[in-house]
This record gives sequence, C-alpha cells and structure tokens, in this order.
Amino acid sequence: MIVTASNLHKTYGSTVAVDDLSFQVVPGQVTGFLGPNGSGKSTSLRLMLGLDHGGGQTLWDGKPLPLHPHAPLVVGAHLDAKFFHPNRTARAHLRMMAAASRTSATRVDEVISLMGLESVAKKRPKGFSLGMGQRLGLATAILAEPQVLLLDEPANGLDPQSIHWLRDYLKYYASQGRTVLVSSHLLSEMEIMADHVVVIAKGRLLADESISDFVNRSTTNDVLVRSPQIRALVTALAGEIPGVQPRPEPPDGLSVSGLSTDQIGDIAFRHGVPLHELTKRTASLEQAFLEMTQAAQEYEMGRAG
Amino acid sequence: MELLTFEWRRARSIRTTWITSGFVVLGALFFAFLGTAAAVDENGQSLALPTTDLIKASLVDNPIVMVLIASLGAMAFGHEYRYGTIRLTLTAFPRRTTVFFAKLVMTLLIALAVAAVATAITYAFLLATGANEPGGLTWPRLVFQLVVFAVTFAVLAFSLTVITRNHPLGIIGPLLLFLFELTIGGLLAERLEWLPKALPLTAMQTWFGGDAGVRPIAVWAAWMVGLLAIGFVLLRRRDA
Repeated sequence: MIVTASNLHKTYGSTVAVDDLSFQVVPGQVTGFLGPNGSGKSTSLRLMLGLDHGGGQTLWDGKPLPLHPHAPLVVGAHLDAKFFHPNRTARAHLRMMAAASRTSATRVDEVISLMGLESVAKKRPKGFSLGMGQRLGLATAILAEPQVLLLDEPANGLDPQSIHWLRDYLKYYASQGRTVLVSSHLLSEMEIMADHVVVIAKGRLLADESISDFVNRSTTNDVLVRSPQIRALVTALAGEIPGVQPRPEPPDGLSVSGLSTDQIGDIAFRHGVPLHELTKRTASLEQAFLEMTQAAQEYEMGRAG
Repeated sequence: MELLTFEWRRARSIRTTWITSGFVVLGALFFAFLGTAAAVDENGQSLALPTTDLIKASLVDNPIVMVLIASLGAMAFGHEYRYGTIRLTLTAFPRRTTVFFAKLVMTLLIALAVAAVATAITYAFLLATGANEPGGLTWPRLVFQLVVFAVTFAVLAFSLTVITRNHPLGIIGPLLLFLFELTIGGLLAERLEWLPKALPLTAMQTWFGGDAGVRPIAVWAAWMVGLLAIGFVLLRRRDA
C-alpha cells in the first residue's frame, strides 16, 4: 500500500511545526523518517493518522484513512511506549485492541509470544520498563497485520538483542510487500534497517531518497591516499586536475574529494609516485545527516539574520 | 459493531469499572439500611416502610450514588485522555463521530445496567427487612426516575470529561453542579427566580415532582444535548 502525504502543515501559535511537507512511502521497503529533535517528525506522523488537525492530507492507497472500512487493517501505529492504561493487563490491552479489527484471541497470544511478552502478559503495565512498554506498543501495532506500519522511535529503551530483533522483523515485514515507516534518531540503526530515508528539519523536507543516494551526496565521501612522496603526489594531482584540493591527513596521508580511486591511482602511476594506501571512504548516514541538517539550520539562521 | 465490542472490552478490562459498580450497590444498600434502621415508632418498633420510596431515597437522592454514576460516565474519555490511549482508539477508529456515539451508548448502557442491578439488590434487601409496603411512588415512575437520574449524571460526567479532557473534573463537576444548585436555590431563589429553574438538576427534580408542564423537561434536555454537542464539536476539532 502506497502512503502519500501531501502538503502537511501544522502550526502551534506562531511556530510552524510542519511546513508544507510532502512525501511518499512505498511498500516493500523500510523507510526511515529522520530529523533532529523538534523537527516535526512526531507531529507529521500524527497529522498523517488524522490525530492532529492541520493542513494537507494523507492518502492510504489513494483514500483518506477514515474512508477505509477497517483502519486497523490499513495501518498499525506505535507512537509512544506509554499509551496504555496502567491497570489493564498487557493481554487485556491487546484483546481490547483486537476487537477493533476482529483479530482472534489466537493471534493475540501469537503476538505476545512474538514480542517476548509471555512472562508479563497477565501483569499490569504500570510497572513496565520503557523497553517492555515499547514491546507492548509494537505488539499493538502489528496485531492486525496491517498493510502499513508507522512507528515513532520504536527502538528507544530496547536492549541490543531487541533492537536486532526489531531490525530483522521490520525488514521481514517490508519484504512481505508491506509498507514500513520508522522514525528514529538512532542513525546507526537506521543505516542498517532502512532502504529509503525521508529527512526533515524544522518541519521541511530535506531529502526523500534511497539511503545510498543520500549518503553519496555527502561531501565527506573522499579517498584516503598514503604515500612516502606526498608532496609529489599533491603536485601531480594539482597538475592534472585543476581545482582539486587535497587535505593533508598526518602523518603521510591525503584526503581527496571529487576523484575516484582509479583516477588517483592512474595519476600517481603516470608521475611515478608510489602509493602505500588508496581507500575510498564513504560517509556514514550520521555524517550525511549531520551535514545536511546543519546546512539547513545555517540556511534558516541566514534567512532569519 | 467492532467499536461497541472494543468499548465493552475497554470498560470491563479495568478493575475501576467493577469496583465503582460495586460501590454503587453498596452505597444504595447503605442508604437503604439507614432508612430502615431509622424508621421506628415512639416505642422503638419498626415501621412498615414503602419500598419504592426507600429505593428512590437510596439511589436517586443519594449523593454517593450520584458521584459513582458520574465516575462511570467520566471513564469513557477520562482514561483515554489521561493515559494517551485516545490516540490508539482514534487510529483504529478514525471517524470521531462514530467513536463519540459508541462511547456514549456504552456509557449509558453501563450506567443503566449498574442502576438496575443496584435497584434489584436494594429491593431484595428491603424485602428481607420487611419493607414491602407500597409507597407513594409507583414502580413505573420509580423506574423512569432511575433512568433519568442515571442518564443525567452519566451524560454530565461524560460531556464534562470530553470538554475538559480532565478525568477528575468530569467526576467532580456534576457534584459541584449539584452543590451549586442546592445552595443557589436557597440563596438566590427570591432575587433571581428564573435561575434555579434554568439549571439541569433542579429541572430534573421538578420534572420528577410532576405537574410542572414541559418546561423542566425542556431545560433538562437542553442541558444534556447542549453539553453533549459542545463535547462532540470539541472532540472533532481538537488534536487528539
């Protein structure tokens, strides 16, 4: 199911939380929803679900959510690890949510087992840890096996094993032809989990592309070259490619942006410069993200100034 | 239908619903007990007591039952807003109109069922204590008054909770209104004759008294519908 968010807009007083945000989430892949704190990720998710009122609309397979006869089969959302009554047992909470989608009690037990909640199924969630609350929230979201999963920071408070499990599960879920949108600030996790990213800052769209395209756009992608004749190499590079600006990386290295390893190797060979290392360095998602959000912030500050 | 099942599971899966319902019965029994214990002649002999009047005094005129019924009414939205589960509910059921009316129906059904059970148990208690005289109040009128009473306090609490999104205020609001009307009746009745007549609980009592025409019914209905309408509009317009 394709989810199309168009011109989402939300203001709180004079503060613009989401500013004309449009993007599409497609099935078959995990889409990461990234942005700094306060960038409007959670507000955008609430707007998409119709929980908050604002501008724009979200279509779920071409229709607004209220026009689908059974919304729980369309979307399962997990927005907060504390959205349950503290005195309703975990199982009763899931049984209650199951009534919304006519999900069977067998499926409830299945989800309890899948999420590792067996030992606390009959306990009241008021004493649950953040991680246990996350599991219950995730169990609620996947209960009816919806076509779309919308998860807001689902890995918060989870232990490493659970994060690993979550990553595998979401990838599996998406591989079944379903749509998964996950907001998170754990960029290292996102890098492994997501295939596509939607990046926002100050409520505006910064990027909507595959992770590899997003990372490749970063200026921190470079080539590390080590040589015993570093001065000769700098001269050779400057001579053949005007404008190239290698940066020294002590003790005997250079960081070269904008050239491939093949190009640098060929130039060094032609000029008889021996190389001890020639490594392509790709920016991490974190580097690319920081670079992009920082640039957006500077642009905003510049506009304000 | 899923929404009503959902609402029923929501209500029955927390102990507060059952505890509050239990206390409605106990509160009614307590007042019935006081009524029977106090009814003695000058020789200390028990008087024959009218059951319907005693049931009315134990339920309809009992401020404890009033607060407890209000508490049942406030739960529908009170818990949802207090614990954030309203977002789960409105994600599963994005049509807010349907959610509002399903919650209202379930709240009224629960309030009426609890009032019915409390009435039956109080009646059984009164029969056991020998109070089987016919009262001034006929059974149909008693049932009618019980229904109006339960609906009134359930709707007041339900509406106030949606309007304020505050669970305690939804419970305490009807009680404050009751106390306000009680005092305003005495203090301002001479100066502002119209004021008590324009208040919902006074209108309800006047309605119960009979012979007052349709005015008290209209005042009562206007309050109930008005509060529900405000709550409905706010639920639809506000962020969850």
